[in-house]
Amino acid sequence: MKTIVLFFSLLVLGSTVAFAQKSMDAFEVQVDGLGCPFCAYGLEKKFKEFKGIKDVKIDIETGDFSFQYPAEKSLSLAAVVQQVEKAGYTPMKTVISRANGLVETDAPLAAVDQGVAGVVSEKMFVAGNCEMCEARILKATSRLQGVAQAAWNSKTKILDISFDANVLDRQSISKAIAAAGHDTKDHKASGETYDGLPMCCKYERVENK
Amino acid sequence: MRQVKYIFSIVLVVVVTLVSCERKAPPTQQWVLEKTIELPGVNPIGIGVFEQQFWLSDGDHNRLVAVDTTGLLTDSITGLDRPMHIDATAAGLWVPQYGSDTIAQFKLPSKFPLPLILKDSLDAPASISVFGQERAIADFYNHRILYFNGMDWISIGTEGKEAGQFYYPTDVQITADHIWVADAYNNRIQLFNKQGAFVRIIGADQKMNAATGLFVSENQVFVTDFEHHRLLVFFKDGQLAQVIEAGLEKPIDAIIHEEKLYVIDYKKQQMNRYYFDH
Repeated sequence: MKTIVLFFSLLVLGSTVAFAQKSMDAFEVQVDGLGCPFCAYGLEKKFKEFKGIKDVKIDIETGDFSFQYPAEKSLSLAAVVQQVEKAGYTPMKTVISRANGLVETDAPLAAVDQGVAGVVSEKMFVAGNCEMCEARILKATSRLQGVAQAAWNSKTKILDISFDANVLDRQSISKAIAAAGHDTKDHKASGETYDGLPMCCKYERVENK
Repeated sequence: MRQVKYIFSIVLVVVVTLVSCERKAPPTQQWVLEKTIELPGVNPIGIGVFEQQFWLSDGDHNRLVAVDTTGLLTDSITGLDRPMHIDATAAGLWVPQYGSDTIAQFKLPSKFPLPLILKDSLDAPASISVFGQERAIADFYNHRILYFNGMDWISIGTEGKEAGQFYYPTDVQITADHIWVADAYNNRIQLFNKQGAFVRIIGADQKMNAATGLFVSENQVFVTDFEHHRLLVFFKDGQLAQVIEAGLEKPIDAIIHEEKLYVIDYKKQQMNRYYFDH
């Protein structure tokens, strides 16, 4: 009889543990620009403050940031992206594996083929400092329909961008970059957005015309 | 004729003196890269020397490692939570743990962490300096320095950009008369007296980004300019003495040991050694 009771107890305990494990959503965020350890460890630290969060892991070299969160709290993809951005980082791709088996992700727009007729290349001054700035600037361009290729140099502050001139123009690109927090010659980031940038990204403001 | 001879003698003396002064002008004194020591698998953040061994905090891998002058790993302390700018004294190692808001002391060879008890709470301690009975901690997210003068703890600074304020301090060093602070994201060094009063700013005109690491020697102040891949060397009055770029990508801390300058590079996983060329 004792053996049976022990067996059932273990079964119930095992089921409880299994249920507890299943009731966690798994989050994987590909974060770009984790160049500075003070910032990167800060991201990890700030997420650890979330009640119920478990297994917070960050790999600075690869930019892989992952954690588990209770499924009943239904933490949305948008909320995770917002939280990472609030901490000053640029989430390039987020994947949520829900406890119920569903998978959610936010893939960036497909780039336009360089060979397409109408694709032009331009250079643009974009203010910024570091790798985190670079990630933010490139993410802002990758979210625009019609961009073929973009690269920003932290030393020269020049953005080299190729885009389909039939669907996009220079002013729209400049505006999108400013909205992400980086001044261009034509558009200035709002004070609030600039203030929200992490400490290493606080570049010298551009005096617009 | 006598007058002519007299004038000629004076002119001769002046010329000889000038030439001799010119010859006696001190040559340029510079730190010169001597050796690069590879540290494979180690992303160093802080450096200290204990019993002729370099101890490095490897924040990415939550450990301290001891290396010799060839870069060979000779010892380690694991299980830490993001150790940052450490200090080493005759009593052992002092380790700020950024992830757990604690300071641990290791009385080597024991690897049992002894906690530093504080009444105040820290938020991401980035550095500790120990000088006799004095202690100073760079309290990163609280934008302040906590300083223990041997009797009492005092809090120095608040968040801001004015003189005496901080914007994410990352390193601190106590010397005989002062407390030196790497005011990282204000891109400058600040100097305080031991009552906590502001004394001087150094390096504000050098457009650093960001002043992450600091070492103060007898005559000079060494500052790592993390994002600009260089180490700035100042005299203590704030005058720039040298800009070192050779061998550096993401320099994060420096130390002088046996008259050689050692600079650790977080990204290149290296320790560069420089000699002083007289």
